[in-house]
Amino acid sequence: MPSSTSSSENAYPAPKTDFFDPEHVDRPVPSLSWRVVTFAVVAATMALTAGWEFYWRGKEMIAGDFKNSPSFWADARRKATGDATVLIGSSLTLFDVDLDTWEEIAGVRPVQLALEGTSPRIFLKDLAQDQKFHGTLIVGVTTVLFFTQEGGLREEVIAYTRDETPSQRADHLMSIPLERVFAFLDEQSRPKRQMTIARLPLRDGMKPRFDPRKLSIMDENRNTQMWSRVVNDEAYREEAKGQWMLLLKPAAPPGASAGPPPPMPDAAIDAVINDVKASIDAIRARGGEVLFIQPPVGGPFAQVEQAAFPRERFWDPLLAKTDSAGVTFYDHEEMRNYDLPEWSHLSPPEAKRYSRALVPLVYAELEKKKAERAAH
Amino acid sequence: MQQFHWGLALMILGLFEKVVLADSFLAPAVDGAFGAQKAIAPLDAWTGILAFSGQIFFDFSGYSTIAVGSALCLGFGLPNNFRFPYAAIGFSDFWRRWHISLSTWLRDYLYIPLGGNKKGRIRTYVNLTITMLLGGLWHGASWTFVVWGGLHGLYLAAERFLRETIKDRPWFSSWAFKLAMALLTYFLVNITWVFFRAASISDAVMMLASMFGLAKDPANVLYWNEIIPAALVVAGMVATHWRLRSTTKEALIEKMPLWLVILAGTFMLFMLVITQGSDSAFIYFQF
Repeated sequence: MPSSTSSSENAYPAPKTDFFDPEHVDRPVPSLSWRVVTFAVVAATMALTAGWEFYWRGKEMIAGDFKNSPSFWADARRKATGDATVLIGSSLTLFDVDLDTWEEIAGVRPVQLALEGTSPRIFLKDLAQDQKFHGTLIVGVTTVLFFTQEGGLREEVIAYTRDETPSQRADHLMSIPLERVFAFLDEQSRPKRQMTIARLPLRDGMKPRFDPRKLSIMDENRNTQMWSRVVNDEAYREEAKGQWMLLLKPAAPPGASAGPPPPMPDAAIDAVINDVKASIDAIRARGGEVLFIQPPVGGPFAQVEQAAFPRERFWDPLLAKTDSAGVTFYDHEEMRNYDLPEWSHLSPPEAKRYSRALVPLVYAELEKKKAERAAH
Repeated sequence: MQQFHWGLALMILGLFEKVVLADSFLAPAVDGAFGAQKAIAPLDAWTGILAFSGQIFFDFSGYSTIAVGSALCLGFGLPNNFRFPYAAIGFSDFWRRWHISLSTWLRDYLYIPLGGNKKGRIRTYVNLTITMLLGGLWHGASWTFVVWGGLHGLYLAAERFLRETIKDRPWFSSWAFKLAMALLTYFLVNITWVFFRAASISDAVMMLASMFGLAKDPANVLYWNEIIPAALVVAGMVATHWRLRSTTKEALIEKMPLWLVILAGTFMLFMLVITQGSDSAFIYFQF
């Protein structure tokens, strides 16, 4: 701070207030042809932005692919009320269940609340605590995520929905019309993201970062499908598989799980199921219903699931102890042998095919469970 | 109308500082180094703290410049809150250039009422230290802010002591000496930033030990993807501050050829458009 020879110290004058008095501030304006500068800057920026847009369209980005932002999720969460049909789960449920197909077959459009890298247990609890929800809840189970964590990568969206500020809301509302028009408005096209994923040599002792690239596109209703580049571009697809291998192989990097976890003790499995049952009971007490689905996985994901999370210890007790219906791809021939380009998610045509097989089974299982309960 | 255009230009500059430089280029290195919470290699520690010196400057200077620009668009003139502080030679100079609204307030409402420099040498040093300790506490009730303020108080007192004790030498006014003193000031300011950014005193001590190679089993935690952008921006920032230390933005822009002004404006606006903003609040919103 200014300390030594300020003249204001000499006679201890009244505190200076000029600083806070805008009328006494000299704010010079550089003498330039500002009209010319403004016009030229705006015109050049528009031209560069147009070039940038074409560049990313050339990389298969499309307009109308919306950011899977917390505000976007919050919008969907507000629709998950009353007797709505709601989907929760991780990325498998998000990518593989096609909402258009569901609506076409069942006549209702589910609210899609699934989020990548996140166990649905936290959303199950959230909906169980929401007294206004008494609808049908479809819980997608990716066994490793479901049983090993309550939330995960995107769990902050619940608090975000509750605490969303007016400026965050305004940002979201202004972003929607722009995302309808511009393809380049995407997390992956941001310079920060490009710097992060640029291939540079690794420093001593450091492992590659687990940081999957863009895999999906999402429409205005959070209906999501695999991005065409994952299907069409072999190098890009191999990159995606490489990322999954970082997650799965024992020499996994910091931040990623270190391969197949050790067998989970029975007590821990029971604790998870009891916790889930409490939430399900709360929803059923209000007249709602819950059903589990297990979308297909392939490659190393299927190997890990079958080796470390056998259905006898996880899926079957989950259904039995929560008295719930479930549809797993292991039980249905028509749900197997799909095209999973990067082992984890279905390609867009396969997601439609899977949904076409899934929806009738879901409603049949729900009816069957209803009849069983009525018989008791 | 000229004032309106200049106000818009300042808003673009402020947004560029915040959204592009602070959030996109510097924040990843800062978060990576300070988030490690373990002994890290000196390169990582220095990258983290130097990046933080840039992040907090661009964040807060950007915020202030947006305010100045938007006020100007509405016909009000607000004073500058920063004047190229990383070119400061000494700490009294630093506080004439950094967060000027706070330093002015501290001077007028704390330092001078405490007696300023009118009650003897020792009391002056004590007044400087008390003022800066309270300035630190203004940022929050945390020991890290107390240490930050205390260090600045000690720096100011020590600088005053040296000025009063050491006789002026001809080479004091040489370019090389001034540059060395500016770099020493920047170095010492960075030591204080460790306490400002760290979550706790123990984290700060760990970071300082890492910076000076005293930490056991240090690990590399930053990727080149974080180190290179941070190094480029920090080097550019320090060079720019040094180049502009005796002038103003307005004077510089008036001297620039029109095409260069247009090029700089286009670069900043285009980077803003493609960076698309993010959900990062201003650091100073928490104070």
